[in-house]
Amino acid sequence: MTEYTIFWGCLISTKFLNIEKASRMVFNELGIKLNESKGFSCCPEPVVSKVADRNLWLTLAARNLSLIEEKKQKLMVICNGCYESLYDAKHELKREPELKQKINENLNAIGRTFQGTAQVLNFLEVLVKDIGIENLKEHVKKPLNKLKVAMHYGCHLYTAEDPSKTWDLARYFDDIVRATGADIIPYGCERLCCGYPLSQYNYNYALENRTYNKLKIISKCGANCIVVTCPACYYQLDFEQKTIEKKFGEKLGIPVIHLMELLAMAFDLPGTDELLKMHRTKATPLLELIGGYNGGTKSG
Amino acid sequence: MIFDDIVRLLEQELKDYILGLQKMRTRRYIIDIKRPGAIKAAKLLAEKDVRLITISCVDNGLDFELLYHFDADGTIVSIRTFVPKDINEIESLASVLPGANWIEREIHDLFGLKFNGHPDFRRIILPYEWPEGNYPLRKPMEGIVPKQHRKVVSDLIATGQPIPFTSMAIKRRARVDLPPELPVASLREDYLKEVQELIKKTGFDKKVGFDWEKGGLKYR
Repeated sequence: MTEYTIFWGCLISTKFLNIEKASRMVFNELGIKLNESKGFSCCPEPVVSKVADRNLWLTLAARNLSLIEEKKQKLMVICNGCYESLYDAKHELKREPELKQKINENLNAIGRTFQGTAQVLNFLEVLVKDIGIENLKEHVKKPLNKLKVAMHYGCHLYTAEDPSKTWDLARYFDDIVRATGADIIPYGCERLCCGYPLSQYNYNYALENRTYNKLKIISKCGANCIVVTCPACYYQLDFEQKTIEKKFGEKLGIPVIHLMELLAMAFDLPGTDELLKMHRTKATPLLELIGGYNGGTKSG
Repeated sequence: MIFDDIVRLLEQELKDYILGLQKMRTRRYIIDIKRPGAIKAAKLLAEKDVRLITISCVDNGLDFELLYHFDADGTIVSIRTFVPKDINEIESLASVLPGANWIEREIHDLFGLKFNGHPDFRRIILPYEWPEGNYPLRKPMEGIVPKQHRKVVSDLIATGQPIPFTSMAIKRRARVDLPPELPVASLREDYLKEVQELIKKTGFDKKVGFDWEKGGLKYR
């Protein structure tokens, strides 16, 4: 059985339990063992702390990575924000040896050292490169052929040290969605930010000019739902959608599904309906759309 | 007394108080000294007949930056120290250096900073009818963290996570058949201690104005 150390991040493990639950269900189905590592702190999150203090951001990220280096296991990160933080910190410290030395001086105070050997993987990389698209297709028990989805990639997905690989994770995302049988509907502003980072600075502006704009365009493209890979995008598009409906007096009602939930739907895993009930914008009608829910009965 | 003599004198008498020396440009230096040592340093210079030019006060939000500017034979040497606003007082220099008398009164009028032991602490620059306790150059007690980020920063320092693993989260996790707790730093005291030690080591707690006793930022 392949094993990974898992980094859930604060948002998923405390707020969006449907994403954690779906991930556990899907990886269990795929025969992947997820190990918890003791002592992880915040990644730290890349919107506020990275801007507030680079030294602190790198020190805490290096501490988290040093915990993995001790275990010598691949790190799979479910949250895209955490992935960007840990990935960027690792590569920035590798690029700047003097900085690495300075950060290690900080870590030495607690008896730790950052070497830069930890393998930081986005969960999309694990699904495509380690598990494989063909393998995923074999697990699809209920092809989502009737489902038309609008892709929301999210800014953190374009994190890559090698510029030629900038689009890799986004392509993996497309490939996985296609493997479920769902139809990707282009709508023209896929790259437009969900508004979450901007909302940390100007909430109302972000809500009107990013989130609302994006949702309006998607509502007219014919998609049944939005698929995301980032918990912050999920929050902004799902939870804030209700706020937008109230504020602007427009009923949108677009379900927002995390990729792991989409896989749980396609694998027809028991408990998938419970995941969709945790959404703020009603998502359970999607189960009827895909031809009912077998509650995990493997209908083949 | 020339600059080199001043540095030698301060290093000899107040070594433990000196935090650093910066050359700003030719014949312009700033010496950072811990608060209790700053007045001692100013007194030492006064005793050696180094001329006090003036004292500047800057309101940084959480603290006052006080600069005692001295003229050392054409070189301007500033003794700099910081007074946290929750302390809001420092020893007066006026009894040793009469030239500091009016300057300290002016700083008090404008910023509300108290100079203990001042021989004549009357109002000097504001009109008589100006309301008591209103200091025109005093800013609200706020640090660098914008209002909307204060909770995130405060929780990050206090719990190791910007979104804390609360008892409510633990209950919710149990309700949906997830392991109620994860072995994260916010739920493990030994690991949280490591994280907080690093926060102190990087000086982030001081930068944002975190009060370890209260467990939150000094401002809301």
